[in-house]
Amino acid sequence: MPTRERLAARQHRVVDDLLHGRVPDGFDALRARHTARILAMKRVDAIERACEEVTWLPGWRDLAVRFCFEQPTRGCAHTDRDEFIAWLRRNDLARNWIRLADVYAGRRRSTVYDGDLVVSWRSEVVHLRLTPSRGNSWHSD
Amino acid sequence: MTGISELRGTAVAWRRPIAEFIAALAADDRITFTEVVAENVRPDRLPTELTALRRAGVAIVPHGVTLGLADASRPDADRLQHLADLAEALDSPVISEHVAFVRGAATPDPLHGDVLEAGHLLPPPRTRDSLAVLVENVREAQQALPRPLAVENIAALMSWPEDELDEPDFLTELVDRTGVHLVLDVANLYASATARGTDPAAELARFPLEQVAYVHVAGGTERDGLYLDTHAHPVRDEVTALVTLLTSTYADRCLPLPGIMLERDADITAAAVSSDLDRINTAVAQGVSHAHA
Repeated sequence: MPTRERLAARQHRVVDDLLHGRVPDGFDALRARHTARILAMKRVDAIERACEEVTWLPGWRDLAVRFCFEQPTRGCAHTDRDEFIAWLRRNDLARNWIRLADVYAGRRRSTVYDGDLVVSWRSEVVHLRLTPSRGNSWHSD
Repeated sequence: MTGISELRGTAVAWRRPIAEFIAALAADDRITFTEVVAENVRPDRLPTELTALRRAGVAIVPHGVTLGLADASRPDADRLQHLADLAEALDSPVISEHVAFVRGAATPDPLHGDVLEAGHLLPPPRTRDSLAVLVENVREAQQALPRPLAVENIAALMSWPEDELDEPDFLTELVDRTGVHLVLDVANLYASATARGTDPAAELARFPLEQVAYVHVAGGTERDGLYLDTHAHPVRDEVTALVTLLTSTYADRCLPLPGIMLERDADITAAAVSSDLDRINTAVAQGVSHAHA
């Protein structure tokens, strides 16, 4: 096999492994895993830029890395954002946060998330902190 | 036009959030060159801050990240044209890219087969075959580009099991066979050497230093005993120590010290960049005094 063909096949196999979060044959596991995570984090950072509300989801980066390894084909940041949300739905993960994402995407008017009433209002999404009424104070004084 | 040999002093890579800070450095004659990520700008719509810098006499280097000179396929004509157009529009002294592959194509013909974009700079295997392909690709790029090409050593956490050459030998042979210049990234050198368990200072001395167009420095952090080149943290003491060593090595060999550029790509603030730039300037001054000692 000519040199370029041989190199192409080898590089393709290694990139395929890394994008899936697998350790390519013969590579050091720790170093390959870190490299695979760096590749995934490039997509994860792009998802964050396309979906600011994702930062409300605790542990979202680790979930997004799992998503990237399961669906290694790169779309644009917006495709990745939509597919990440679809992946969360399919795996029945982050149900509350998905309702929040639906408000941001205009698929839902409001939800309660982490003690906030989150409302789509005109072209904005606003978070209103819910506090108990005076007659129902949680404080002893 | 500024020549490569005029890229001197310390500098900061141009990023939009610190455009004002860089303009102020240029106005105070504290920088004479900078660099812009080629994929982030269009030659026909250059940011006004960049054209103002150019008018003020600051040399601007287009720095590509997606060409994939170490890909198994040949360099893409459109990407080369973009780099060429930018270099013309900016009147750049040099164009820089990386010794990296960025995509894995099932065949070397990118029009056929399955192409996987890594989205990141990956180290090629350091084999004779891989070097032969890289040499051909660099020569093709040199022919297509209107200005000299410089290629950067990347931060490589992983090594290939089939590696036959170490990085200094691999780069020296690449330089010898193509005449290409280098962007020597000392933080990347530190990252790669740490990951493979070699001594970064010893490797630095074996790099083809006379062929370095300019130097990169960036910040990073450590995890699991590995140095991660994040461009988002302060420059570490181990890396400024390499800047000092580099400075004294150039002086000892009676070579002119190339320009040294700080890169930052996250949490880009004037305060963070200014602090790192001061530390790099101090490291250079220490290197000069070591050499004279």
